[in-house]
This record gives sequence, C-alpha cells and structure tokens, in this order.
Amino acid sequence: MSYSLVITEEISAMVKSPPMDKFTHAMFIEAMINLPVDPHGVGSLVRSEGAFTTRTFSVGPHGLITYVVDETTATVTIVDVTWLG
Amino acid sequence: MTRPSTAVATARMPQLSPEPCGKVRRASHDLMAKAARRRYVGNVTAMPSDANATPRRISLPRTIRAIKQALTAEQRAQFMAELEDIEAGGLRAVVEKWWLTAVLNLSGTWERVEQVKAGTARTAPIEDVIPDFAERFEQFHGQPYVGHVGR
Repeated sequence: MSYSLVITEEISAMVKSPPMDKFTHAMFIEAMINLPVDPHGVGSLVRSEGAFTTRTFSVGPHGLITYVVDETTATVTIVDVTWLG
Repeated sequence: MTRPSTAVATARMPQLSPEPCGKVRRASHDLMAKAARRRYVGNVTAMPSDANATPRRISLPRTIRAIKQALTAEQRAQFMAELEDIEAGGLRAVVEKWWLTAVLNLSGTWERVEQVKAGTARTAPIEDVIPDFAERFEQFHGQPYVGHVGR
C-alpha cells in the first residue's frame, strides 16, 4: 500500500525558509521519500486512535518530525518539525 | 580614580516602573515578548515558532522528573502507572515514549494533530513544497509516486 504525502502550510513555509540549512533540508527530503512507502515502519509510535496514528522520527541530531497517518484516506500528513536541545 | 556617581550607574540599568518610556520601554517590551514566547516548565524550555516559521526549539531532559512536569495530569497518571508495572528491561522504551509525548506537549503539536484529524488543517501536497519529489521518489524506490494526482 502506498500513501500520499501532504504537509501543513506552516511546516511548508519552514521547509522553504532559510533557517533550514542545506544539510538538514537534504535529510528532511530523504526522510520524506521513505514515508509514503512505509510510514509505520520508520520512527516511533506516539499515539494511535482509530484510523489515525501519530508517529515521530528524528532528522539529524536535533530534528524531530511529527506526522499523522490516516488509514482511511491513505494519507500521511507532516504536522510539525521540532528542534531538540 | 573616580567612581561613577550613583545617578550614572543606575541610569545604565533598566528600571522597572509603571510607565517605562523610551529605550527602557522598548527593552522591557522586548523582554516581555521573549518571555511570553518562551514557556518554562522547571528546567525545560520551549520556544514556539514565530512569524518567520523557524522551527520550535525544545529542551527537555530525558528524566522522569522533567517528563512528569511536561505532562498533563491524565498523562502523568498513565506514565506513573506504566512505570510502576514496567520491568527493568522495558524502562527505556516507556521513558522514551512519554518523553516524546512531553516534547509534543511543549511544542503545541497536539493541537495541530487534532486539526489534521478533524480535517481542518491547511495542507499542501508534498510536490508543491519539493517540486522534484516524484522524480526523487521514483529514483529511490524504482516505482512511481502515486500522490494525490494518481488517486
């Protein structure tokens, strides 16, 4: 099963903006490429409710991406990018 | 050696007054604005994103104390119940799971998760953000990216 990948407008602006350096941006894209194929196979499960599963995975030493998998619509939504530390 | 007079010394320090003015007012306003954006939970800090869409920056130690402080009362009760029942080998996984929950609490992520679940979040296809996404996907996986267009 393949999922479609969408991103919230707020995070979209963050990805396009200068604060995300080239290295982090490259890692972010690499992570995105893996998500539509197996969103449940990467990262860590945080919460599961009905058709929705919230998971996170790390990007580099400080990045944390949060995404929601919706089994009903086969959609993965990138919800947040957080910097740790 | 001459010492600065008291008047000069105190004039260099920001003064707290009911009606600050000029530079002091601006400095005070800036400090308050920063304090308002940064949420403190014990030794934990969280700086939410501002208008230029910089990532939220969270600092949260992976200690039971810090995690407890960043959880809601209901989450804290669940966390403590799990801690009481967990065997030593499983402690790391439980702490990691609740640390992630606490980080998402501090960053305000749950509100955005709820918007996604309710269908009210404003979203865009990944191809709009990364124009060559489908091409990269196919190169990596050897199969076309279906995305929204193909559904």
